[in-house]
Amino acid sequence: MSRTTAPLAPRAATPAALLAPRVRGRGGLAAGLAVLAAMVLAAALAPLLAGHDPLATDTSATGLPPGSPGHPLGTDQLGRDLLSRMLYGARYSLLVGASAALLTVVAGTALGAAAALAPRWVDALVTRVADALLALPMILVALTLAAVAGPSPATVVLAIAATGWMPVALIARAEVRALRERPFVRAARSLGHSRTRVLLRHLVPNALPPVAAVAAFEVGHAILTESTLSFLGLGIPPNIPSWGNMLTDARALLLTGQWYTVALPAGAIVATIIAVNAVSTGLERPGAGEGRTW
Amino acid sequence: MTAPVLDVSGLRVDVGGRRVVDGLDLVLRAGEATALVGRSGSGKSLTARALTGLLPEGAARSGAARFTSWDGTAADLLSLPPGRMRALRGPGIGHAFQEAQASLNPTVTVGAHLKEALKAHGAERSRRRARGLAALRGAGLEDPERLWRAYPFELSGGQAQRVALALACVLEPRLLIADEVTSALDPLTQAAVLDVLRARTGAGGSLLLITHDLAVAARWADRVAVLDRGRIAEAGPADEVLRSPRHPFTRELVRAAAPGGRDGTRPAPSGPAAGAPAAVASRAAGGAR
Repeated sequence: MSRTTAPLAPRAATPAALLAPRVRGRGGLAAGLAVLAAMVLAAALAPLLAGHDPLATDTSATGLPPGSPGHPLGTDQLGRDLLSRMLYGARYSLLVGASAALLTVVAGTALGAAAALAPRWVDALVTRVADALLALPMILVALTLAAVAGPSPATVVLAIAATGWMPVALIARAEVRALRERPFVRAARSLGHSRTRVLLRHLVPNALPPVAAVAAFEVGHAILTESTLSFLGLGIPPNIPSWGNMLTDARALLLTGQWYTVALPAGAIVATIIAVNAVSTGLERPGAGEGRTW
Repeated sequence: MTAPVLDVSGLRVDVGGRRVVDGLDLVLRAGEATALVGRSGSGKSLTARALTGLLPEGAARSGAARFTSWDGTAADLLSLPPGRMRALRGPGIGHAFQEAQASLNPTVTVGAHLKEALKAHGAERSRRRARGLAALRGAGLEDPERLWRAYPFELSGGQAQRVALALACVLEPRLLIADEVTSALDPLTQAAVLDVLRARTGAGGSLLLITHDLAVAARWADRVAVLDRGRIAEAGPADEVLRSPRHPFTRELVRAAAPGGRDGTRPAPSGPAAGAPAAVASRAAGGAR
């Protein structure tokens, strides 16, 4: 047997060109994870970090700006400590956002993959229902759900998933359909792998990068939808602090000089969305990009 | 004459209402390498895919294909229930594809590919790694330990082709179908890969070499079957068919492949493998018996 040809070619050819994107990707991953970890930690340690009861009003300290003694981020119109409200708010916002996004993505991917591989009537059913839901106003669907299930964080999660799975499903369906006829899927089948195995090991992982991009968007969508639903009295009760509720409370103060009451929860939501995006980009396997250019 | 490993009769494949393979008959025997040659689009790949039930969507097949496994059980590939067909894919019939790099899952390492294949057919967990590494070594790959952790995009074209081959061979198939596996390789690598393929016939296995390269067929196959317009135009010992073709299409094919286009000459066996190492050349001489 003659000798094997080259060493691992791309590495040998352009080590720098190959390393650079990976380091950059992993750097973003690390930064995103750090931000998310800090937020989760802050939410978990809220009772220790918050100097005040997030619900306690103080008529002698209303509308304080950030940097006031005893209130590092200031207070709102009712004299509630904004730092404490941000910390406690992170608990509900992150929990609802993460679980709603997770449910949305898992359900969407499962339905999309099923539509792509199952008999034609399943495909027709899933795509028709998705089209119908996309055509309906989200609030209408959420209202109906809340009316049936009653306002609670669980209802919020359900409502967000019920109104957000369609883009994920349609993208997953298109991706899986495109991948189905790819040589590596055929090769996997030629080795006798079962349909389930091919689906879970070969189709879904390769369909994930575009789904992951939508998933990151879904986290932001979930946090924002939570605030909308809470504002309508269908979500988290207004006395419980969440970033969405804080935004709702502060909307009237945007033009009165107390911009920070809006900026703080909005900034937290934006930072979360960016961090989730960085993580989803960084999580793509090295080589997935190269693979997808075939 | 040894027993047939595969006996195909009257195979028909329709794609989108068009008949691409029309009544193909083919017999593959144990210990023999058969080259299926024909021009691009003559239905060679579809024939192979019809046998293992991996036709593209919208394609239909009919006919009979009697396959005999290692344990002597025979079955008609075209009427097997899906579960039994799945069990045959891998240990019964191995299939190596032309686009090697694209036939590896980009999100999975080389080692994971091999382990997954072994696991699917019930290989002992503790033996999977050793068997996988042996398959890589058997496909002529050096340093299989390092390749084990590599992702497909990290492989060169030749390495990817050998990995794909190792994957098709790791379950030690009775019949290995190699579909244009060497078309994209340089002559040296091509010769080495073909040697690996040829070695499959040593232990009573059978090899179906799909190629449009008559020189490859001449050097590495015992028998040649010429596919024209969905039928076998001519079949027989490689030497005979390529030296004195009887069917007009074979004559045309042979003439087109010959240097200078002289009529009736054997296609240049020194063509693609010219300059191959002595070991390869001697192997090749044996291969064209």
